[in-house]
Amino acid sequence: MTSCAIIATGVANTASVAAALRRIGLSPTVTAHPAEVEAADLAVLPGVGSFAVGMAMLINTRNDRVITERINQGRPLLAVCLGMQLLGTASEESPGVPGLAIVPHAITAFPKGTRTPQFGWNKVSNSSPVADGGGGREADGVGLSHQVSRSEAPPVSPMSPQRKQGTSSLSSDPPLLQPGHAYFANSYRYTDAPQGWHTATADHGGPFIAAMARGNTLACQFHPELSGPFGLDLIRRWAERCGVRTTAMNGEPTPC
Amino acid sequence: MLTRRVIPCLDVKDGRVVKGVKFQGLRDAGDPVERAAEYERQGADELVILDVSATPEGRSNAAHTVAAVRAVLSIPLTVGGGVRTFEDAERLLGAGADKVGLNTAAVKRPELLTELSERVGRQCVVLSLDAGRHQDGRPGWGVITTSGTEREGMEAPVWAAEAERRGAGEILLTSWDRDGTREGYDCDLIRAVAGVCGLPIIASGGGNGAHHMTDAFDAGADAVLAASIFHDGDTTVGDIKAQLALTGVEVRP
Repeated sequence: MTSCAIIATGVANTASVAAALRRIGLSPTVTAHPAEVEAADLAVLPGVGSFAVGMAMLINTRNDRVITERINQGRPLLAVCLGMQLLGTASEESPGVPGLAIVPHAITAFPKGTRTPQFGWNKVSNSSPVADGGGGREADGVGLSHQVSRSEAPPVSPMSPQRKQGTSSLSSDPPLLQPGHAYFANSYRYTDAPQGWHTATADHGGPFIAAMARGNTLACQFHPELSGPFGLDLIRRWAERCGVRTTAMNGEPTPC
Repeated sequence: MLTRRVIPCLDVKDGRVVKGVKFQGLRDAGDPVERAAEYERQGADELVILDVSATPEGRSNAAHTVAAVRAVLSIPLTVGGGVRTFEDAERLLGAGADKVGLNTAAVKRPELLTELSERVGRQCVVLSLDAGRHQDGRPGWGVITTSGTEREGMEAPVWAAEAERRGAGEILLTSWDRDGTREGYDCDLIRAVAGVCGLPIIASGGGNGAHHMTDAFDAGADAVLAASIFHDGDTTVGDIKAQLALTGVEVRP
């Protein structure tokens, strides 16, 4: 039985995330114990509230190290909203507070004059190709690199080394990130696409990163658990990519 | 860009959806879980559940209803009605509400907005603002609490602006004058509130068709609440959104 740990953040939105995971046949537990988070097959980092409070919680519970190790080892992690922001280097919301620095970029506020928070449904673009400096670019995305700056980090292979044997090759899988409408409730965001990650963008006062994916790590600025079928299908695709069987709402297994 | 939102509302009492029937009080109108799932299926952008229970037992049942609806719902859920304290709000959020609506409790103690938003974030805090034109003919709208009495000297737009400063994240703006009339939302009220308050506004009261909703959006509403037009099944959320899209309103397909 697949274990799924939702990292307790001390704030309210674990109920929605837990409900969404149950809807695809998983049995999540909410925990702040780093050993449980470390041991879980799937881990979810939700987040509502400020960057400073989120980082303090992760550090106090030692989950900062657990999350960093999970991502470096390619073990499944879904980061949502503030959870995605905590992966970055810093945030304008909480000056002086370092993030996990897994994503080598900082989070900034929407431009002055833009409605803040961004609150509602916005259109999420096609996933842009991973900038890997050479061959192997996927044909699935619309390149938005001219609008969104890319980091200078060394290229990381887009292939996940953790993919289970017997799964089809990456180029024939539908992309994890697909276009659609998603529900946002955020005041801060990334504008830089980290090298080595697939990204999807949306526009609110200019383009920003709506979601990013690398191997078994999926991070969404929007709330996939509140984004209707679009969001639920994304969560399901992520879980399936991580080698977990999911069920449709009627309990039947989804086709591979 | 952000789409305009169409939000059905369910009045729930003791675990059942109820519908006000003229001269007959409240009638049972189904199971909240089924209705919620149906609205999501029709394309609702969010759902509002209003607890209209009159008793403390009814109020505590609301959390059970919220949890049951949450289990099937993949869109944002706002719960209001009888939220009196910080603990009431936390209980509903813990049960699965994404946002809680505060009305009388916030008027009586505006600090509650700040306390809640600091704890759970302003995106979880909705000010339910019931407004009615002054009875004595003065221009403007007074704030009406759910007991039906007007708060002395409190102008609706001013209260909305104060709520924004205190930590509300959104305004559910209901026109008492229009509620039940099917004559359209009070667009002057929407304009007046939008003029002094930067929060997203959900217009409520009087909406009876896509044309009313378009007027509300033009007046500055970000979203519209509708109850009766959907309950009877005469029209679906999908029908309404198709009509809105035809007139150029940006809606989520």
